[in-house]
Amino acid sequence: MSNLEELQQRFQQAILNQDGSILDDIKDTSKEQRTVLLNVYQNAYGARLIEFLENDYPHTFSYLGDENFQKIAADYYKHHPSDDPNARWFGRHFPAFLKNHADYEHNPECAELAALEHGLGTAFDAEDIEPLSLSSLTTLSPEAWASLTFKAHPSVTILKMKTNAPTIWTALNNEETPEPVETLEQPQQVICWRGENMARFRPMDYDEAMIWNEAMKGANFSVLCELLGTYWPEDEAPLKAAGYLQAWLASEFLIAR
Amino acid sequence: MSEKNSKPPFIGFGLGLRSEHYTDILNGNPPIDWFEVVSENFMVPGGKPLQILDQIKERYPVVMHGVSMSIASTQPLNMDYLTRLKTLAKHVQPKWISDHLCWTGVHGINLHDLLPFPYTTEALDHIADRVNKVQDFLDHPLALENVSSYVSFNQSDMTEWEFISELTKRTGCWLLLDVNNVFVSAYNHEFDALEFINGIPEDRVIQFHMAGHSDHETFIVDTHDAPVRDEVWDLYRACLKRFGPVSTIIERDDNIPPLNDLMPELEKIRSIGYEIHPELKPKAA
Repeated sequence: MSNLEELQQRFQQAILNQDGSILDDIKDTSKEQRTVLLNVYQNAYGARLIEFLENDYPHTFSYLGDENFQKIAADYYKHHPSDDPNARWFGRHFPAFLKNHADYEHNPECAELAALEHGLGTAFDAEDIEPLSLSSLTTLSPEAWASLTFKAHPSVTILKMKTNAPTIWTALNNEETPEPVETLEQPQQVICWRGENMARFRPMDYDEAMIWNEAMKGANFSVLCELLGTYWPEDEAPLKAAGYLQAWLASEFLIAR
Repeated sequence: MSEKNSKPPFIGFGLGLRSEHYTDILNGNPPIDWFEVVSENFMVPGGKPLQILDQIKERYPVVMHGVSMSIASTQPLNMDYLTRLKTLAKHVQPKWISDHLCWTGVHGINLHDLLPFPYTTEALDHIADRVNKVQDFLDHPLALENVSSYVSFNQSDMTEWEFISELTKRTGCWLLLDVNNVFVSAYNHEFDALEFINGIPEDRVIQFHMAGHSDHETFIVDTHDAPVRDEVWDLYRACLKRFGPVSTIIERDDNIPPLNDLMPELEKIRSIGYEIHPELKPKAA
């Protein structure tokens, strides 16, 4: 190992571990001791990473409050030091970290709120791919319609919510006091996506969620109609499926497969 | 000499592009000569950031300024990062690409800081080799920026300006001189800022950064969150005299004021530029 490599390794450890192991290599100045000068880097490290998380999860930050957020964020960067040159991806594990953290075991809405913010962030700068339009499907024959399969736009994230986290997000976004936390009777599927150039989310109806999930597994339109037959009378199911498909296309959820 | 090695032209007095100013810039077409964009902010798959960049680059010359090349790291060059940087540059067609003469982490960890290293022959050999490789890889001129630092190493056997000079000789890279960073490091490491300036080759500097800092009495922190200090204006004058007309921006990274509040500072940068180099002043019609 070269001297430079060994020095950089120790300097990094001194920042990550917040210790003085590198002090023998650095100089005092006539004005200040080296411990104080090293502290500039050590203090900046955590502060910068917490700031990245605050920027990516502003409503989670606001919901948890400064003190709680600082604590969980500091715990997060100790477990997940940044591994990408782009700070944009540093916080990607934060929702899962919150979900599995002992301190938040009884507050599942916090992880769900963070997951929602992560979904919106993903939608914001997802790849630009032309969404599938209704007009591109109107010329299809009935046989082609039956075998039609679907693919989600890269901006789409599907979340399963057990709490009213989306309502909490909306209140915080409107700078209002959120309603108390509620546990839903049944988990609700929420879709995050970018439509008309804005990151958005909305809940999906239970039958809509069911056929969306099957569509994403490769089920064709005819199968989706059959599946909707379990929710709706046989003669209404195709119309219902067509209605959902039209809404997905209008919302820019889909791309050509 | 290929185009990427020829000296980029003087492009005037500009600003670091910040999201807080997007609307004012796109709605008002303010009299700003050019913008420096933070490369990583646009190294994303798609969406609004890239749409805005496209609109900016249609109206203004753009330079790409990165924070993650980690040219001084002993970790292997991150070719995935460099490939994405090159892809963005192909799209943006910047006048040049810059990053910092520093390292940001080793062993796969990124500390997201501009970290110092000892000025040794070993470091010079290592970094010069990497700069040559990166220059060969990118299709644009590369400029490296001096960083502010708070610690200096016992191992250093040359000054920062000797190190930078030798690096330019070995690699032909260009320099982005952050005038505030020279001031900050001079204060922190107790050297004469003018000695630094006079130790840098006259013909390699293609850009200046101007910024503010925070004074902690026994040391100064390069916060880039405040107006330029008087002492740094004096140094800017000295830099203009030594290096000639050099493209300059205000680099404000935090505590971002409204665009209108930054314009007087930009005009001051311009007027000092014209004062030292009257030939830059547009001729009256």
